[in-house]
Amino acid sequence: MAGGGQPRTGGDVRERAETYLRLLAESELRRALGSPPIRRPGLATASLPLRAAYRVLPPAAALAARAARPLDPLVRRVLATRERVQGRALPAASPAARWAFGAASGLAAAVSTSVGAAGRAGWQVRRVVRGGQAAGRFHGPGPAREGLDRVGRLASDFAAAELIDLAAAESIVDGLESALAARSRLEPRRAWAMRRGIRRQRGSLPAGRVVAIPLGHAVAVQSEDGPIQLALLALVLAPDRAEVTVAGRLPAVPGGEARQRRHWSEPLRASATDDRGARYEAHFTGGWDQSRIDGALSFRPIPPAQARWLEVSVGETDTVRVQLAGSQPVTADLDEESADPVEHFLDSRAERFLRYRWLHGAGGAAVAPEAIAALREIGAVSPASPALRRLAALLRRLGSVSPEVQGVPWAELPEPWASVLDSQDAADGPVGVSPLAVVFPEIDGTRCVLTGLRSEPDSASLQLTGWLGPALGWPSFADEATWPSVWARDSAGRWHIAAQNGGGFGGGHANLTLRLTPPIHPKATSLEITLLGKSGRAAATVPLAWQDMP
Amino acid sequence: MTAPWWATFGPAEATRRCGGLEHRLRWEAGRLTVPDHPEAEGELVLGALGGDQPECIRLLRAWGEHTDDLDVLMLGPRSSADTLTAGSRDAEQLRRGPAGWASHAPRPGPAPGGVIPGMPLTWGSLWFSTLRSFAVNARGPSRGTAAYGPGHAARATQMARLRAARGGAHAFMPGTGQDPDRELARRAELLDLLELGPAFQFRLSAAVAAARSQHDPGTARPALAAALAGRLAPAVAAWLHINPDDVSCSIGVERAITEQGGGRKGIRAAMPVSWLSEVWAPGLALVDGHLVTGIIRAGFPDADVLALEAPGGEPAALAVQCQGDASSSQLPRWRITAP
Repeated sequence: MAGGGQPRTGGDVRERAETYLRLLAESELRRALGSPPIRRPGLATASLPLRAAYRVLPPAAALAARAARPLDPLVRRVLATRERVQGRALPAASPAARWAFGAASGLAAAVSTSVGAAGRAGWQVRRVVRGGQAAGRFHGPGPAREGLDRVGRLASDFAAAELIDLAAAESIVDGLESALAARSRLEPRRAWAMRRGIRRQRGSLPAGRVVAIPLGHAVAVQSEDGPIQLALLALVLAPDRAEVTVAGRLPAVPGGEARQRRHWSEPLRASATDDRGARYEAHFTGGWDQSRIDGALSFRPIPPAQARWLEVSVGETDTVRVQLAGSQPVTADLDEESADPVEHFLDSRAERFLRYRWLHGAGGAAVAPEAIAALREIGAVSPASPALRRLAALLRRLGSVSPEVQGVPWAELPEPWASVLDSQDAADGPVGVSPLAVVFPEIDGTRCVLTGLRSEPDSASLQLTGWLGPALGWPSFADEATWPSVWARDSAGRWHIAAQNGGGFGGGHANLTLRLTPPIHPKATSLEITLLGKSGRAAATVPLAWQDMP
Repeated sequence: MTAPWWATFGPAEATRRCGGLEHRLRWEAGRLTVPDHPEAEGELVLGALGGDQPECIRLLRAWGEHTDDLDVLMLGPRSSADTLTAGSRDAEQLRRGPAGWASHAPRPGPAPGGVIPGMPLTWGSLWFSTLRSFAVNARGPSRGTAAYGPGHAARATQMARLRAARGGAHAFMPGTGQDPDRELARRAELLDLLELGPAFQFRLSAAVAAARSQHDPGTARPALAAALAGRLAPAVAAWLHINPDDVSCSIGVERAITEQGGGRKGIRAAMPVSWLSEVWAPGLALVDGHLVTGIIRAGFPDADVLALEAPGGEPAALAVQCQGDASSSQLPRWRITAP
């Protein structure tokens, strides 16, 4: 959590950014042309169903004078930067194996839909895959894919820093992709379809009032392995959704790995009736690990705003009456202090590093060295940049050597960052659950409600119910970019940074679990939660009322 | 009076199936014509009014619509060694749309309980992915299909490491305002045009570069700078037997090839955008070990050019002549006829 910065970027910097990106694309195309073209596996001898299956599947086999001044040194720097940054890339982790598996399973799945062809085609699929592998015909991520990814990553980062229009960024990546495909250097991958699907799902933010009511009721739901202990955290009611968020514990039974594959959502059914006798049914959406389960009970139809109360029944437990009329949720006010987009981008990368450094191996990827190097090359950021200086200080504090911040004087670490680092080894958090109901205003095209806090000795987690607006970008790393930064400060003065740690997206809605690091201070009695985005920040303080952990 | 950009191009011809017959498409003097359709203009009008368009007429119309399309320079060839493999089959797949895909396309996204991969969102992708996208979008994943469980961050870290290892992290942001169906149709048209062969690819590229060099590039400057770099760098590299990555190219009024200087490795090359249409596209970039920087007298098959023998020198006037069949689908080969 940091602020302040330089003036917004001008047209020259934006032009240099686009030029840099396009020159990088040309360079990557040239590099890819140095590799052999891809070939699809020969299907001439395969059966009709297999050939049909192959056709409908994604390619399984893997798929003027003014300008002269800024451009000339820029070209050199694009190339030099690429070499320097890429020199640290790690080798691919058996991509061929992954792709081959994908090809086999994908083909098998499609063939199984062909009437009467499953057995015969399955054998042929295996044969084709084996043959393809042997002949080296299945290609996974290669130079072309890696180059496209580099351009895509930088385009995304430039767009996040508002150095390039989204349409132009997409056009560049798409153009490179098309150029590679037109030369048989690339076959597209399946994830595009999903991403575009998700993108198109992004609908609208809730048009009407969003109500959140803290609950704090403990219930037990019977399952074949024993009772699932749940805490009903809060009811969220909006024009397009009605949910009761829950946090719970699964029954302690042997067979850890197998239990993760079980569909624990099956027994988690709920119903509700309102004051007018209307009935609503709910199903569970969320996730679980070996012992914990978090998520929401999503009700259909959506109760009308006129309903005075709801009686919620989960499993076979007693009903819980929730008063809707007159409810006054805690709301957070928006402080519209927009940040310089480049500075915000740098701070977000620093926070990302801080957020995920507890995950071994994630830090290096989080900092986005290519983007930072490029920003410096095009003059979008100078060594005097406050955000860059903060990043340099953070890296120094963490003992990370990064050429991208070489020669950058260190700034003082922002208090929240320093606090998180000072308490990073704390394991003194209280054990319990505290229901919350904090409704946040729209920030960066998102809305969200925080509905509960689960605290454990080494960390804590927040439950988030959210909406994703139509203009929102897709997460660039570990999905955290979907939401504004979430920070919390407990009443004992300890700061906490939030990282997404599970949940689900769909239909423009999200239910997420945010892991707070470090743990809540044992003497804390309240928590100030801040959402920090490009368009501003919003904060609210909530009391902590610990209940036993389910 | 300055010669037109096409003055150093010979005619080119290709054939296409049209109405069950083999028809000719002929490019000459900067224009594409369809000799087997004497009433081509009338057919174009009828097509614009919604009538059926013969294949030749469709290509004729498409050619006209792409002569200032920067996508031509992005997709098109960078050198004579740069072979495009896309063709009408790919174009047809784009044009056909998602029919037949939705019922067979595997469910998109991660396995149940898995993470949402952080791969780049790309727009208007070619071939199968585009078709699949439309098929999948038409169905719309149900809520919760992208669900992932607690411990996601740990898996996300694994993903991040893999992405870092293969350079594949990221995001791509949503596009603004383009009509995907129209874009697909436009891309399909371009593929059809490029399938006419290298001779037509270079002529179409030249047409675009010529159109774009006639006025201030404005917001297209970055795209034109990249288009120039993508073609000038390989030419200079081939001339000097160096790596194209060691050539820094820029748009410039002055036509100069110089050493980097200052103890830095590499070559600086500056050319106007018109170099693409006047020199590169007609195959004149390298002639008998000389890098051609400009045209003194444009003509075909004989022309007078300015060319460098070595970086940093003054260009010398040379008389050159195109060898080979004027209507060949292959690129022309020029030779020096007089220093």
